[in-house]
Amino acid sequence: MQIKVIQEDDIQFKGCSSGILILINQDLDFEKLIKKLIQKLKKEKKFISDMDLFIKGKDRFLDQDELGMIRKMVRDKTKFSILNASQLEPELPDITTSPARNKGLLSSQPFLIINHSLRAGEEINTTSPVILHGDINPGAILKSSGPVIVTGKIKGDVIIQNAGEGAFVYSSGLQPNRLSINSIDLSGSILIESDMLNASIVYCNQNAINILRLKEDKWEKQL
Amino acid sequence: MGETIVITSGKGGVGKTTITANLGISLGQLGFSVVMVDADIGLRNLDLVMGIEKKVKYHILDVSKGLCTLDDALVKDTRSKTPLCLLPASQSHFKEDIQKDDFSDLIQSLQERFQYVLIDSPAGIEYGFRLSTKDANQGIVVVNPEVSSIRDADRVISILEQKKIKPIYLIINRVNTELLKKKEIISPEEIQEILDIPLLGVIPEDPAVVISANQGKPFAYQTQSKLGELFLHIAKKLSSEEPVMMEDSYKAESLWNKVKKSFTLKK
Ligand SMILES: Nc1ncnc2c1ncn2[C@@H]1O[C@H](COP(=O)(O)OP(=O)(O)O)[C@@H](O)[C@H]1O
Ligand SMILES: [Mg+2]
Repeated sequence: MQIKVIQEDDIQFKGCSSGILILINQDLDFEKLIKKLIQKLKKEKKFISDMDLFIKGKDRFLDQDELGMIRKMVRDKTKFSILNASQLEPELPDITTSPARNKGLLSSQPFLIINHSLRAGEEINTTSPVILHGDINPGAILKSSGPVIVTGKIKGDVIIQNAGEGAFVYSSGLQPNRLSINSIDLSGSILIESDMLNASIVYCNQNAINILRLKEDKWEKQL
Repeated sequence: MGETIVITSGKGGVGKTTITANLGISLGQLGFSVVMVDADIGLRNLDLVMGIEKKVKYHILDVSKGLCTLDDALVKDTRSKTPLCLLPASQSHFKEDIQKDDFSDLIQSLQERFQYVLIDSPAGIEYGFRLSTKDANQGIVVVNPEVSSIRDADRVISILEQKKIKPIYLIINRVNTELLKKKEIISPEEIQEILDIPLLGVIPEDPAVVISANQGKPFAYQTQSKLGELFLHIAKKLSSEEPVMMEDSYKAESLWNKVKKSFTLKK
């Protein structure tokens, strides 16, 4: 299978029926970033009304005010429901689903949110899409039937099966022992793609393995 | 009630017994009363490493079977200024020969009498491991810079976390400094990033460790030596009320901790 690396934009969207993952280049001037985001949101509006929005960041973090502005803007422009980051803090139960979901137009499954790293010997098997805050360590396994978002590194196994077209994997560093999406084994291709220590979204369509990345390494991502 | 700390690793031969013995001594030097429990029933070692094997008259199973009192079995290390005792394992029995509840009762009696109860766990994650971790409220996971050791440590940490043992500390042992310089082994930083628990210390690979074990003269008694100093430092970190921060070259904060801290969004 052909490998396509897509890396030309400062903002990248990757949608699925449960939400949308937005990567933002944080080096961008804030005004510019907002403008670009509005443009993108307008363009994609028909896809993204009434979905969960999740904000978290890496490297340079947007400050409270900047985040607030983005949240307000996104809320005004769309009908996003916002997955609040406070839901993701450690004192909360380890595994929760998002109560912030609207009973909206979509009949998709809410995200399974896991607030810890998966360690060797741990295995999670779910039909839900997953947001995992932490790493997937060597020897750990995550099986899902939906998109998988890992805020840390993937060094263990991620297996997405029976997930349909929209399935993707996001990670801030892909060094998987095994990675497969709908029975397509991606581990090999990812090894070929040397730059996998950068944040990337990986998905497949009919004839290619696509790797979506920002122009710059620095980003803020949202879902 | 004393702190009960299990020293464990998953993999065998990584340095659990060495670390239990020397940490016990160093905690003693800080003025704490300490008892070490050799939970490696059937493979008794801790008395040898401590150099007090000749004083062993009874063992843990004799106590649990009522053949002697706990005091009869406790071996005092007279080199220590503070009470430092060992509850030896049996050499001839098997792990399963001691009942869980009997073991717990023993640990409880020890907790009432000593400020620190150090449990030297056997390798593996079977009965002996479960026994050793059952009554512990803290853990020390020992790891060597090898993929298999790291993998086992990760698995063990996961089990300790499920048992709500907290904090769980990391000691990285047998770091060959020559190989580390040549980048031929996994660095302490990388290990800590994967395992993501607070680091108590990094111990170099040093023939002095084997020599001191063979002579039954634990290096922690040589407080002027590098290893002795290192263990005193580890004991201080362990016993201080302060949260463990890596003031030395090894980062306490993994990348992920930084990421977690940076959640700025609040409802
Ligand atoms: N830092 C070290 N440098 C050199 N040898 C070591 C070191 N730590 C432990 N050893 C040696 O490794 C062997 C196994 O150590 P031990 O403490 O018995 O491990 P465990 O209790 O985990 O099985 C022993 O011979 C010990 O002397
Ligand atoms: Mg041992």
